[in-house]
Amino acid sequence: MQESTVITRSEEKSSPYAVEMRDIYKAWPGVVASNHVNLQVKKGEIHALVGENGAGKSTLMNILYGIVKPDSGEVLINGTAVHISGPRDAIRLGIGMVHQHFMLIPPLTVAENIVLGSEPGGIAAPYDRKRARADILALSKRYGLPIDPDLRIEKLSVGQQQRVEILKMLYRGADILVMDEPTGVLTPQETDELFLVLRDLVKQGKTIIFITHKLREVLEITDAITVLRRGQNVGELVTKQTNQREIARAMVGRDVLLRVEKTPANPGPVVLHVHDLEAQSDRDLACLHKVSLDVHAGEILGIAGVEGNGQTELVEVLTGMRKPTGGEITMADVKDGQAGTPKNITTMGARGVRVAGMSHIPEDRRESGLVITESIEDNSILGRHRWQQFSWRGMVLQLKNIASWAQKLIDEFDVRTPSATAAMSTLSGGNQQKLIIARELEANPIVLIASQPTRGVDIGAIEFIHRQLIAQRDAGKAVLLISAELDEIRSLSDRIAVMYEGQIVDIVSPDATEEELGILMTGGHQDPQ
Amino acid sequence: MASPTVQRRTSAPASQLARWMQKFRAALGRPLIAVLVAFVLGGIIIMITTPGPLDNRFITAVSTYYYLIAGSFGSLQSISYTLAKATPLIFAGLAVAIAYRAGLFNIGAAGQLTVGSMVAGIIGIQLAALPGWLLVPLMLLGSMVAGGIWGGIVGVLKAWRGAHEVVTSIMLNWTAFYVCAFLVEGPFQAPKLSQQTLPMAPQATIPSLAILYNQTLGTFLPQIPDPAQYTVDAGLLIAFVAMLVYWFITARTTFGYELRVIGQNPKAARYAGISVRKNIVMVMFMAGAFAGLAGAVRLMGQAPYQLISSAFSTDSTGFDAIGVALLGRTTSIGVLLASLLFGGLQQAGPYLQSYVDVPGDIITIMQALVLFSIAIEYLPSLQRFMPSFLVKSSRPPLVPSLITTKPAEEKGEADMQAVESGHRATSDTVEKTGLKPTSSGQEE
Ligand SMILES: Nc1ncnc2c1ncn2[C@@H]1O[C@H](COP(=O)(O)OP(=O)(O)OP(=O)(O)O)[C@@H](O)[C@H]1O
Ligand SMILES: [Mg+2]
Repeated sequence: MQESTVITRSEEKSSPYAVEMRDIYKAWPGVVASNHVNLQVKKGEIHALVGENGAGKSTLMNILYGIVKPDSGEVLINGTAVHISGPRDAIRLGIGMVHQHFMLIPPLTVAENIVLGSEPGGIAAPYDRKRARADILALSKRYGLPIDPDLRIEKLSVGQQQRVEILKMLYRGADILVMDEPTGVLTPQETDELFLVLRDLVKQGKTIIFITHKLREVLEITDAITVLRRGQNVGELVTKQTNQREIARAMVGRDVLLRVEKTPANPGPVVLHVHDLEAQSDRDLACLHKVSLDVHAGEILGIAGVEGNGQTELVEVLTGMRKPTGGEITMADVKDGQAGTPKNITTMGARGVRVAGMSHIPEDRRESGLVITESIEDNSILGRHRWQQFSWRGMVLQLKNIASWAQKLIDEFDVRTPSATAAMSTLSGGNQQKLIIARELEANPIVLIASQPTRGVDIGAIEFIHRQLIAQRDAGKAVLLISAELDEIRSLSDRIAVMYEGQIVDIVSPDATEEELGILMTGGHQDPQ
Repeated sequence: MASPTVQRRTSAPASQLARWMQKFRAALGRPLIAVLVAFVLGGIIIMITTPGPLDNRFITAVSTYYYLIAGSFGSLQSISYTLAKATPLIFAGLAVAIAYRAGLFNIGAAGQLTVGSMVAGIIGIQLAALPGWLLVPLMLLGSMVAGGIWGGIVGVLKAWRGAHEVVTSIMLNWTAFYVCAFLVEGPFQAPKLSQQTLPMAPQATIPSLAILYNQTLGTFLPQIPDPAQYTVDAGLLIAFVAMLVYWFITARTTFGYELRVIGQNPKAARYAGISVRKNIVMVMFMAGAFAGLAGAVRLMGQAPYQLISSAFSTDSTGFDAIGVALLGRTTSIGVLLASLLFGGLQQAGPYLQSYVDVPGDIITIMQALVLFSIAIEYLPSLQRFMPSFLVKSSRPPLVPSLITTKPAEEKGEADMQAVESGHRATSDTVEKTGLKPTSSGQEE
């Protein structure tokens, strides 16, 4: 402890920066992801790295962590020029990273995941379970990150998994923590907890680089901001002296509407009718109890609720991915304001419901909405590959049609990629999401089920997606919106159904206050806090 | 519906040639390196194991490779031998490859091949009275159905019982070996012989390619003299057809598309409403059919045109096919090239002993080394040792050490002042992009 303080002191003179990246250049085939980028992060600060999807944030951080090799440029850690040729070097330099997509091994325990690669005893000795446990418990106490080291990762919630990732960094002695969109997958409560932890870490002398698309978070937690656009620095701001509008303008290059603009809905007949739906979760427990709803043409029905109250299963049942154990779902086409005869889609399966006219933006897009190794073209027809325009008699792919379809999605939704034949994995996180949204909206559905549609996309894209959802509504589609963002639900929905423990507890108007919704979401009792 | 929110990106379009080069590198670069690495290691092994002074050993290693190449591709005759060896490997390689597309490891090609050859043999013996134009297709079809069923069983067990395909296909391999050996030594045993069936009737065989040529095109083009010395049979043509079929299925059909989705991301298959079970059974049936053809073509195309009970479990084709498929990256061209390599090695290997006094087993070692070097490419930590031109483009070296200290005073301080002024704008990039830096004074 003593020694390290001394070193820090003496170096403080030469460099106030924990991380300095100078003139970083990195080109992927067809895209310059980092175009002479500079980044300076002072010791002990929380530094936001923001920018549109594909601006090069993850790439820059992957360079810092040694996963991606820059074409040119310099990295200085605590004022010392370093050569980082892999994560191992980065870890040795005290850099830790939590990736946009977690890198944990689900069947292993928390402890095993944390010590992986730096097991107590090294390679030669057998794995010392007791010591690993003790180390982790001590660590989790010191940083206020309670966790049970013996649980398997697959049993943990997303927030807990992230905690494991953080502990893993700390276990390896990281002083500089890089967090790539850590809040993208968290519930608001989990985000609050994370912020407490981050503040605590900074107090203990850590430096944090924080990537996010949520400007509210930037203002709340960070000290300084670096803005990237298309692989270039476009501004460096001090958080205290700026505001959302300014950051947004720097990111996108124009003024961004942070508020949703919409006219009152003009709902038509019932299109999606759900009656007494029952279903079981993966663990064979009943998770939907007599859920009934109606979604009308030309309206957005929002579903609010704390995550894990049956929303995921409801969406899966509606979209044919999960078999219900009871109840009925029907869907009717609408022509000239008149509903056609309702079709029973309860047991049609995912392919059937798509044919019937349903589109589904899934919540875990990367896991189930995409095949990351395949091309954009292949991904642009996922779920609709047997449709007439994409295959001859559902058997032989019509490559020309697929290519022009993919290009259309790319053009109309501004998916940033050099070509439609590029593998999906070469797209930035947000652009992958945009492609899914494009695919589902362009299919011209009757019913659109959108689950967390703006998770992980940049503010420009959020604005765009919101407008698209409203446009779908105004075009007479029935839209079911599921989101963990209360703001999003309230500003987009025409009615809000609140889910709690697998039931719809109430359907309220979007004018309901956040408090009222909060009470409903927690089961109608007064909020314990 | 065009997006007004974000402007189009202006990226330099990658030149067509560069993209093509990249495709080529991605498809062939690593397998080529794997083969080279294997050959270098093989050379080292030869040098270690042969007696004599160092320069002698070196000469032995070099001449081994010389005779390997000469023995497999050195003359028309050796090429024809090599092709004959490669033909069943192509079919079996496709059998492993198509299953691999769906994420299944078909280690059971050997068993599927065995039942395929057995059924083809049974048809050939029982229906020997039929004319060739009927009998040959019947035998081929029979082998495909038999192999297909054998593979399909693996698929069914996987799809409905969750039994791992590696376990079930190994068990089915041995079942096939023993059942077929029993059939050969029992009901279909040739009189006065103990371990083999009768040879196939002449009309139940596939003609040699050279003879076929002389009889067809050769009637108005120049004849091939002494065609009997070229052993490769017309099964090679069937293998080309199989490659074409494979390519079409995997690249052009919705079935091939579904296989890719299942193989790469089963969750996405669920999302897309793709039936994983149905496709697993179908792909394993197809894999078995390809492997069955390997057995039939081998039986019908090459001497001794009969089934031998002891050969079932010792024939390595079904296992070499795994290497062929992986080295060929599960593409049809790749499978062809890898089959030629393995076929060539197997053709030339036995002669090494007499020419350079190197045991023919060195061939097996090299095949294993090829497999190792392919496997290695999947280990990320070892990727760093891959030649850099395969992994990434060149870049100027960064300061190459963790210890070098390079104080950054001047720049650091200059930037500090910028910070103090409340704005750390990077003026140079701002100029480049032509964008005004945002400043705190601009709001409202
Ligand atoms: N492995 C890769 N191969 C080719 N191109 C890539 C690769 N990784 C990233 N890119 C490209 O580099 C650019 C920057 O990507 P990056 O992932 O850094 O963006 P990002 O700022 O993290 O965006 P997001 O907010 O969407 O996560 C994108 O245009 C992307 O398509
Ligand atoms: Mg990213």
